[in-house]
Amino acid sequence: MKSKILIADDERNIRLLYRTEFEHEGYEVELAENGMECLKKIETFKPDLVILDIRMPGIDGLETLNQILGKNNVLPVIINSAYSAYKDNFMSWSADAYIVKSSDLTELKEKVKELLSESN
Amino acid sequence: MEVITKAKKLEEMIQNTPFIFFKCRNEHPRWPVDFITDNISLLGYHPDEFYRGLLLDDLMFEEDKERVSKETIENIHSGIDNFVLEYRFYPKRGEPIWVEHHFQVERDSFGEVSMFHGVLHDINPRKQAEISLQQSELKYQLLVNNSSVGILYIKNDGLILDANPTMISILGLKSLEELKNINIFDSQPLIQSGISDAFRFSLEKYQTRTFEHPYASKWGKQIFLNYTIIPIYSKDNEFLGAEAIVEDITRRKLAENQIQQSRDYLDKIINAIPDPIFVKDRDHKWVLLNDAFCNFIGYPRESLLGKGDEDFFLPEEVDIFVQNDNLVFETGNENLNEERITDSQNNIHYTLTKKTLYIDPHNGEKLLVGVIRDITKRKRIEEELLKNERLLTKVTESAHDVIILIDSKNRIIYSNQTINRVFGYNSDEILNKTVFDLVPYYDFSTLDSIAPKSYKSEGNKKGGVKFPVEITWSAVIFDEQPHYLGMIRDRTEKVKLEQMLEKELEKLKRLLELDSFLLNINELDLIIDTVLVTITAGSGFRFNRGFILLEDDPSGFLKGVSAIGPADPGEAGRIYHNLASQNLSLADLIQNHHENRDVYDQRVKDLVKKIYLNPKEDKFFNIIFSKKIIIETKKDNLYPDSYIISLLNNDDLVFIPLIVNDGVIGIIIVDNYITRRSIPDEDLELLQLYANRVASAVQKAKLHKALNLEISKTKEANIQITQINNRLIQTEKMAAMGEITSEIAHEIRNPLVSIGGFARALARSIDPEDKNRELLNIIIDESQRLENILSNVLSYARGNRVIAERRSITEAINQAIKLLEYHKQEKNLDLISNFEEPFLQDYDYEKMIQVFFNLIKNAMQASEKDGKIEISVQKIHQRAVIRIKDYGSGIKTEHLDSIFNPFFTTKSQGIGLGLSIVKQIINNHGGEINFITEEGQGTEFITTMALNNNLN
Repeated sequence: MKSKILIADDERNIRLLYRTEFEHEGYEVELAENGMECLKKIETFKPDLVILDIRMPGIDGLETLNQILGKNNVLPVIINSAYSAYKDNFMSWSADAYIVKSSDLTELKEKVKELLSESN
Repeated sequence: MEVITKAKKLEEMIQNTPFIFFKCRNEHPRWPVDFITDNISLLGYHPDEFYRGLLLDDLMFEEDKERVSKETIENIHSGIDNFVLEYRFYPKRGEPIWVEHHFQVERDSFGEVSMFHGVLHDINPRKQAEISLQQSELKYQLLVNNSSVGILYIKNDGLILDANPTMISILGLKSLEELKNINIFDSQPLIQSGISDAFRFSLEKYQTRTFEHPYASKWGKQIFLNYTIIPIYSKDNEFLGAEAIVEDITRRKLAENQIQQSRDYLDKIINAIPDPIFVKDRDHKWVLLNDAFCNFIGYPRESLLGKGDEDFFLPEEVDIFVQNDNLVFETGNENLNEERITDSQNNIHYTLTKKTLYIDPHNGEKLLVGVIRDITKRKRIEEELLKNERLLTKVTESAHDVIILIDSKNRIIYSNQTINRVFGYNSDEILNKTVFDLVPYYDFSTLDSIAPKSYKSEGNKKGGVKFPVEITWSAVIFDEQPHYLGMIRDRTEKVKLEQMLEKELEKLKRLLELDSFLLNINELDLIIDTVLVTITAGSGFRFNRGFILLEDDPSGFLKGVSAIGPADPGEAGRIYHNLASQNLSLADLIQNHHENRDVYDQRVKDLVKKIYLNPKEDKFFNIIFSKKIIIETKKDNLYPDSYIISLLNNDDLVFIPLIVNDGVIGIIIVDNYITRRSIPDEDLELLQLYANRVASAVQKAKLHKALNLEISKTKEANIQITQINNRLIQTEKMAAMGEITSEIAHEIRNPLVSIGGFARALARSIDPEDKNRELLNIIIDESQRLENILSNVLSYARGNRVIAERRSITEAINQAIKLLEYHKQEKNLDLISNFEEPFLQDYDYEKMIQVFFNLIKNAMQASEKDGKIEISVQKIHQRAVIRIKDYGSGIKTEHLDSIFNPFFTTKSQGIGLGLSIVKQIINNHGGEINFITEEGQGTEFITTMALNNNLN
């Protein structure tokens, strides 16, 4: 069975890129435009892993992470932000990984693979 | 047997006592003796006489017989068996004596007296004493009754007990009854209150009291009574009462009154005498004084009587009084003396005192009678006169001017002592001279009697010496003859002073002239040249040579600055000749000297420049510096170190301190090396004044120079500040721009990720041989480059937070080298690492990787192909020192200040954040970064960081 990845990012093109790349990698991918949608889709889609942008309208990635942890603290979450500054925010420490956005998705893909193999 | 012995012993004992024991039996009416002790012999009898029938009753004195038998019978009938009776008894010889008879009755069973025992005791001595006492009491009573003084007995409660007849008669009473039972504390006309007071006094004080008081007797006769109250006490000191002895002293009182009256009369007469009169006793105490005396001394009579001179006058005055008194007391001669007395108001009186001896005809007492005449006024006038005369003499004699009195024949009839000093004649010599021996002729007839005439002239001293004088003549009448009073003033000193003043003025003028050259010069060199020329010029001080030493700032050493003068006589000759021919003014000379300052007098200048010494450590110069005085070596016999003397080749030197605000700032040395001319004192004085001016000018020049220096420094600082300010503004601008850039960079990253990401996705799906594949690769590379730029921008914008770990710094360096492997290979660079033994330190691993990445990358970019880069790590004093050295192009000088500024770059690639990030990170670690560079030779960056750092 394919592993399920939920990707939350407010940028449409990023979502599209990630969907293309991760489906190409053989994952089942679901997208969310903001934190609220992300939380809902965790309930409905039941992903094996979540990739979470920080800067999003409404509740931001860190707040979303907080709420995810409140419900399910075994779900692997990767923070994927354009900012490296949030690395210093203690909230982001509770994520399983913090990867700065790059057009080279190699690092992100490797981290996803690593976390999923750990959780299985 | 034993009983008998005891009875015998008892008998023996009794025999030795004066008590005679006996026993009689009742053979009514007789009482024959049964037993009697042998000591009856004390009364001249033998016991046998009684045993043979002698009865004791027969020996009883007849007059007592009836009393004794009556008392005996009474006692026996009353049942008293023990009793004592006294009666007279006939001894064998002589008068009857008193005995004491102790009776002890013995009764039979019917109560009848059968026998009595008796003891006889001779009590004659006691009895005799009692009798004589009775007799003396009688006699006393007689005495009291017939006493010429009244006697009164008063009980302790004040009740009158008894009085003698005299008392009764003194008080004019008829009988004792009128006085008896009167209490003296009750108000009784008979006994005045004086008695009760005196009685009370005796009661309280245990003392006898005497007082007098007048008493009007019953018939109105006025009498005076003298009471003496004598307290009477029991053995236990209990106050029983008092005996009052009362004497009628009326007659004595009357006599006394009479005496008093005649005395008052005498007093009146004495007090009426205006001259003070006193009478002293042998102890020099006043016993009689008249009113005039009391007024004279200024005290009331009560406080004077009984006292003497020593209580009121000064000790030295008293000594004289006593001396004079004693003379009178001892010789009996009258004494008349002038004496000085200081009264109570401290006024001095002069007195003429006459003292006479008086011997009291009654008791022979020696008294001194003194009569004083106050002669103070006369004395004062005399003294005043004398004082005036003395004053006048003093004034004339001590006058500075000669005062002479001349008669109409021009003879000097008086002159004061001053003439001796001024003209040289003594006062005797002068009396033979005429006035015209002293001064030139003057026609006295032109003098009027009102206005004195004054004129300047010439005096003739004894011996003919002339001197300037000022003469004042006035006409006076003396002894009713016209005379002329002359006052001649010696003007010698005044003329001298005038000349001196003129000289001083001249000096001052010269000084002002010399000083004028120093005015408005602010340049030290020009001042020095001016001073040197002034010292030596003919119109200046005309010294041969001059040297100037000035205090060297800031060492405080004295340093030879410049000099003037010939090096030897030959040169001197040439110079003097030269100058003389040119006839230059002082101003010209100064100008000339200054223009040729590098040419003239080089030899003496070289000499003086060898002088460099600490005036505090040099004995000689220390004197000048501390005392601030001119030293003339020869004259003051004070010489500087032989080094100076041999340097200047002269030991006759003058050292003049340059004094400003109480401090010495330099020294001028002058001498007459060539001419050996001695230096006049006045020149030296002027030179000192000039030196003061020079000192001020030098100080001014120094200050001027310092001021200029400060001004230029300030200007420079101002420029620097402006530069720094501009740079700061630039930096701020850059920082603001950086912040905006950082914000934009983030916004750029998302689209960039999309572009690059999709390009990669596309590239994956395109045949590697497809031409478009190369184009896609360009998109991929360029977007990657943009991302890298963004990373740099963002990490600069990221905060200063350092997350320190304790690990070896070489780990970060190695990591950075690893990341740059590609660049290294590209240029085929030789990377030489020279790390010491690894050591641990606190640092942010990620950030320091970035630091070394940037530094090494810069080094690589600066290096030529096949170049060399050296990286070393050392531990020095608990600090890590990391050096990264390339042998590349080096940094251009104009870029040295800006390489650490953000956004500064010389490269076509990158945005110039590299080194500014490096510096920021190292600073955040509390470390520092420096560099050494040379264009074309390469650059070395040196990073220094503490090993132990509390960075979190």
